[in-house]
Amino acid sequence: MRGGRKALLKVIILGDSGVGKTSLMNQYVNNKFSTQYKATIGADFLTKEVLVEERSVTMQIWDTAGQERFQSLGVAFYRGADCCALVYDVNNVKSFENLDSWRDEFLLQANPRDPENFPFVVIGNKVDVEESKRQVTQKRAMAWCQQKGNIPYFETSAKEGINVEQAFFTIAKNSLKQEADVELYSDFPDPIKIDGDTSVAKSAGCEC
Amino acid sequence: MADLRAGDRIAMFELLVGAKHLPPEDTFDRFRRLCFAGIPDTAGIRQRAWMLLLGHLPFGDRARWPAVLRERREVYFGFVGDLITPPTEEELALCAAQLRDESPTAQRNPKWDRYVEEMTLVDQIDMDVRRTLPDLSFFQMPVPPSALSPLTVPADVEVVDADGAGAGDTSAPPTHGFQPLPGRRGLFDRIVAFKRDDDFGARSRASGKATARGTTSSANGDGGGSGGGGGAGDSPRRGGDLHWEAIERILYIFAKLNPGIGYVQGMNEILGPLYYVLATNPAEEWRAHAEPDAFFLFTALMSEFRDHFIRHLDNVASPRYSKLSVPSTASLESLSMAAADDAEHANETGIGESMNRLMRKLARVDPELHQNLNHKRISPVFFSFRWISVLFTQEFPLPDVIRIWDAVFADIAEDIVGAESLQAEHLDSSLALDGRAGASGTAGVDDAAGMVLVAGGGGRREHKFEFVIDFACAMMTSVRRELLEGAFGDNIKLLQQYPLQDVDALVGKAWEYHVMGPDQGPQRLDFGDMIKRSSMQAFRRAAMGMSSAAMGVSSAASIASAGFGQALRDRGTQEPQAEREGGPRPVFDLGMFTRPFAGAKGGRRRGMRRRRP
Ligand SMILES: Nc1nc2c(ncn2[C@@H]2O[C@H](COP(=O)(O)OP(=O)(O)OP(=O)(O)O)[C@@H](O)[C@H]2O)c(=O)[nH]1
Ligand SMILES: [Mg+2]
Repeated sequence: MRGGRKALLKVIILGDSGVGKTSLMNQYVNNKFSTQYKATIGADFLTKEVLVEERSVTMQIWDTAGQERFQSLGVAFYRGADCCALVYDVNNVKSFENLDSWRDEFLLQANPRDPENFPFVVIGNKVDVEESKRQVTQKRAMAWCQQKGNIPYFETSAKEGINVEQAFFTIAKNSLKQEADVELYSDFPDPIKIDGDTSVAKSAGCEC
Repeated sequence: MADLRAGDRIAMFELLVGAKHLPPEDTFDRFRRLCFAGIPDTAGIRQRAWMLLLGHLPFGDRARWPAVLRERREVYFGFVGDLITPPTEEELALCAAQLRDESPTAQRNPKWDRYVEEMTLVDQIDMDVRRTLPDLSFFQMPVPPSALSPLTVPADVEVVDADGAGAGDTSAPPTHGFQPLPGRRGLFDRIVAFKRDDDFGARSRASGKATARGTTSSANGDGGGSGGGGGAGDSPRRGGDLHWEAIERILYIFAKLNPGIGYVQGMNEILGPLYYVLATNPAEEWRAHAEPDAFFLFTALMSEFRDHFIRHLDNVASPRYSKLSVPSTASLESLSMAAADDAEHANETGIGESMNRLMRKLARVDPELHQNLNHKRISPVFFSFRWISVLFTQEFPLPDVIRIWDAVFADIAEDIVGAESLQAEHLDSSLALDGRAGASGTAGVDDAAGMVLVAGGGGRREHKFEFVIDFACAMMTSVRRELLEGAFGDNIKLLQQYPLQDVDALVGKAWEYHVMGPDQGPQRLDFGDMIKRSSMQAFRRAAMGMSSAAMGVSSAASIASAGFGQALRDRGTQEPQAEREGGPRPVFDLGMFTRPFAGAKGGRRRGMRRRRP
């Protein structure tokens, strides 16, 4: 069953409110940018088909709400994620400083098997804004990524469509790789990860 | 023929929301019932109806309306005066110092930190209100100037005589001359100071930069916003506010007065339609007060729904499909690590519990769908968090939202106004700081201005806002076939991008679930029960989008007229004739009201909303 399965990747996008998560996701999935996106309430869900190393993959992307109040929802969304994109706004230092807690919170709630090697990607968004407003240098961001286990780093503009495709492609690639690694080490099918229906052995007792 | 025609229906509404005197007995319930079936879009009715349903105006004591409105508006102007302030010297100095300092993190002083914290709240509100109902241009438009309110009066206008403008509506409050509130834009000036510049360009349009820049050059240019008004505009009149700035002030004041709740994203989505309905009233004496009035309606709504906005009540670990159909909860529990801890303190009121209520209801009305979704592991959090927490505002176009809210408000009127307090007393208790504020222990009290607090937990019935749950349930069952056929991803997309539906049909279906009552507990002897037998079908016919207006209206009429007296008489005895097609419909009791309908023609309009193509 596992062999013939279509790859399904669950991707979570995290970061402070207003850094551009929704804009990034829409740029990636729909090739559109609008200044009219409302604040995300809860989490939005989009999918995109991608071809990675000749394999067709469906990415299920959860674009979450940035305000702290919504973090209690994480429990429901993070679990079973294959990759997590941490987004900040290069013109807002606070959104960068909060990456630490976003990452910690994710690891805590998602509880992945191998937290050390869980695939993150860091995205510094809004690089189209004039240089004088920039508050976080590339160097500083890369140092942080390095320190957290060599997290891939991208600087993007959801507005101009700069680097968005590349960032998400890396997300897809690394989550697939992660998946392969997991498969390598476990000779038993992963009960949580992919096809919800087949995995819930325990719910067999469900009647009524 | 005894049918209540569209014009009569409007006239009846006009009486219910406007008449000086009404006989007290059971009129409020009749009124609520009518609102369930939809409030007419005719000018000015809905806004007063909402005020009545949300307890802003006492239904029974009409003589007090002008005073109540005036008092409350003055309270709000007081808040604006106290809480909306321009940047202090200290703030400006801090900002200037920060600007000079190239690395903001280098040395932080606690004052700056406190300031940043405060401004983060403001900034968050600012970011969200700009994007309120972006499909409408309305919120980007200037608030029309009016001398009836210190928030809208052009700065150069002298004190206005009291009855200069208001005419017509007898229930409108007497107007008073107002001096403009000079500091009303202070909040925006603070944002400008804090943010250094403005990506949107809107701030600089009408805001504090002018004070620094000097004002001589702009006397003509800036009037563009305000349009009307006499007098040569001089410096302080920098155009009026924009509508989104008005709701920004409301949200800021609310957050300040209710520090236990503060501002939560999504509040703007709830405030938006309230404000819109008030601010589009063609009558100036009402429209001019859209901001203070919306503040109070919003506060009333928040008293009902505040627990949805409090994080520690979320209890999101627990939303799940009911035990009933999922005996092996282990697998579900594994979805949420925090479950073990949280489940023990399962909160009865937070958003998590509301989602649970939805799932229980679904299990009851459509076990197959419930089980199917459960197998696909579609957590209610994935879609219904948003539905419920922002009251469907993200799922439907504005006119539909407003229609849904007619029913939602008619339902929660039972919590807010209650059956026993239709008379005057009610009002004061919600204005004053009353004991209920402590009930759930979260609403804070601001000493300086603790006048308008959200008082939670004081609901009079056990299952508050049941209709919200019913409506969400109807949204699910209305797309059941697609849900049953679709896979996980399709389902989530369908529920998150809810397809256009006939909203009256949805309300009708929700009504069906509503009269079933909440999932457990004793049979309620309530509104739903009372009329279930007599007019359930009539309501459905009315709600299911009758193509013929007459049909819809006559059905609505039978709801109205089969009201308490009729329904009680019929209860348990026989199926009332009104249910049968073509059967004679009960006569509407004109004697209920002080004026006969014949004298109050409201113009013929279709009673029900059009069907969606
Ligand atoms: N200049 C510029 N602005 C952007 C970019 N991406 C997003 N924005 C703007 O930033 C604001 C916030 O964007 P969103 O995508 O809604 O932010 P978010 O992270 O989804 O915010 P929440 O949903 O509240 O968590 C909007 O006004 C966007 O137009 C970008 O690449 N460049
Ligand atoms: Mg977003």
